[in-house]
Amino acid sequence: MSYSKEQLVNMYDRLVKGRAFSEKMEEAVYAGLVMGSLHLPHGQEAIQVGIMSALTDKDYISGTHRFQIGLAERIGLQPLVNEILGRTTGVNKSVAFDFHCSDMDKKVLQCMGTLGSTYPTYTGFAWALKQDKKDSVVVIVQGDGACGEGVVYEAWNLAALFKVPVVYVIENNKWAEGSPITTHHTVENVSIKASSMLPTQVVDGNDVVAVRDAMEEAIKKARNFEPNVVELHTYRWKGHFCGDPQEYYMDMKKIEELKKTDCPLNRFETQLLEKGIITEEYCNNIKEDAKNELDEVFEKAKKDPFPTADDIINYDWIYASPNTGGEL
Amino acid sequence: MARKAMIKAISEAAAAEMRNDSKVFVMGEDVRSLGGGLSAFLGLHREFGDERVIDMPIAESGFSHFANGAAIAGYRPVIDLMFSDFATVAMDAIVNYSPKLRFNTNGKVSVPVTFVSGNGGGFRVGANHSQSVEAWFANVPGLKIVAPATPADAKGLLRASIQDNDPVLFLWYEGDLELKGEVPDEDYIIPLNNAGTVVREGTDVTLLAIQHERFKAEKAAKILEKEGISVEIIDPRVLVPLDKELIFNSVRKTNRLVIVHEAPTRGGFGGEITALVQESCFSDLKAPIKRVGSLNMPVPAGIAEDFVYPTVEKIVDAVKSTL
Repeated sequence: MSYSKEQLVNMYDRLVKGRAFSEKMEEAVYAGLVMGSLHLPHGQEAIQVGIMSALTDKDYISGTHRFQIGLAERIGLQPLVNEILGRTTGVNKSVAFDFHCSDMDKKVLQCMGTLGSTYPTYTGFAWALKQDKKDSVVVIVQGDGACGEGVVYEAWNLAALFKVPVVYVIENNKWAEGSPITTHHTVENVSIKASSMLPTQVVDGNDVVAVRDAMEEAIKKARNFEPNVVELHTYRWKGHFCGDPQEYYMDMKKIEELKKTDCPLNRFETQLLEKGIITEEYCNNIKEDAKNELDEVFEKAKKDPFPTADDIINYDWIYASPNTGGEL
Repeated sequence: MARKAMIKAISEAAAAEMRNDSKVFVMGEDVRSLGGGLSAFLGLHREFGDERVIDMPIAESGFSHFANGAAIAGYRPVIDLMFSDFATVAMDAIVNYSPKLRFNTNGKVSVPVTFVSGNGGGFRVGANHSQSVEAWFANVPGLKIVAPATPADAKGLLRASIQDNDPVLFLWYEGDLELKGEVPDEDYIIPLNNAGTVVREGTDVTLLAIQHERFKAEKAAKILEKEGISVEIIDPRVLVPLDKELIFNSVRKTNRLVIVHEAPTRGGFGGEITALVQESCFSDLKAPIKRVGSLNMPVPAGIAEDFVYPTVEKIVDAVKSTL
């Protein structure tokens, strides 16, 4: 597909913001601002930007535990950062953190702590949308590691049986927690395991345009009740979570090399510069703007309160129907 | 009133809710043909068709997650899990999603699913079709657990469960699928709150019996009556939310408590009730609370099931030991 100059620049801007957000989150962890463990998306930004730019307003998204860039685009950067920093002003008032956070009004469905399970869950959600004749598609992102879970295959089978409007994205970053893909799979392209049930595509996930192209096609198919799988290849630059002993188990030289040769941001930037669509001055300015915006957002979040016990111990958040026993 | 079998009462409850609310549907393995593996929903397909009686592949985990997804989109799935042992396969969906989403969304998004399955023994088919799972799930905040013994209770409580906006694990006693009981003709539901009931009034000992143990308790009470011992039998019917006051009031009257359930004694729900009663009624108790559950062993197939489960004799002995 060909994109207008505005569309290309828009994708570039989003990639820049995504990278700046990745770096700012890492900085926040080492500044002691984040409780819990944060799973960083460095090097995988093109996947999130490509997916989000292909989604329409009527479509739903459920990401991975590394999907903060996509979440920020839908939920808003400030409510997401407030959530990550554990403040009451967070999108879910601090109780969900980044990987359990959601916003139904903005069509963001919760990711799960148990991997793979969002595939069957939102397969059911998509079935309901189809029953109600809504014209919406659900995009569910899971990793190559999650594809070791049995429910992934149950979901694909259910999707094929019920012809639901879903795109199953496999973000293949070659690492699953602390081990390489070879520990988890005997194939390079995990989507081959889905291919007996659903159509699949395998795409360079570090090429934002290729990701968007693949997703546009996949979403179009899904809207016609042809569920399908898109496998996006990338490489994880960071540990499973920020602060894990990454140097111990990953080849850091390889990662440094990939940063030079296969950085999703640099690749796209070079292309746009070569085509004269953007200038170096523009790049510098937009990077500076992104950094400044993030600094402001994080500073603002830091001023917001942590929850009190009274904020959180609220049984109306747990049980919908009136009950007589408080905590039941 | 008419005498109806347990599975008839269950299917009538589902049918009534399906007529009430177009968003209610039944799903599971063989629900079209057999009304589910235990025929608890037999006949529904004829009235409601493929759209609302939905066959699933043998994938309890996948289709239970699927149900959660349908529920947050506005549907009210009734999921037939056949034997409650199979709820372990679906545990991720039952434990990690449906009871937690409302909290994670600060009360905004509920998951109104009803997981229905036959619980306990009576089928004599061995270790993976005979377990009582209620205590495994009772430790999960956000999940309600319903455990009726009679067809009438099953009908009224299932209707309440389907209407409830919270996730419910509805456990009926699988060995009693053909058990017949009087079921009211009129439209009725039994609310999940304060659902405990006094099955038999008595003055000497409170005998709290869960599900099928209620019938054994009634036999034990008759034997004990002949010996001049007056037993009050309580069926909690719903374990979460538990009707605590009904239990406490009975114990305050009789000053003694024996708890019977078919799950193994160790880690069983009886331990929770014991703790609640001693916390609230310690000074009323004249004897230690006794628990009668299964032996701590897997349930064997065939006739040997009876060696493991509680018996009327064991209940009689337990009651006497408190006097």
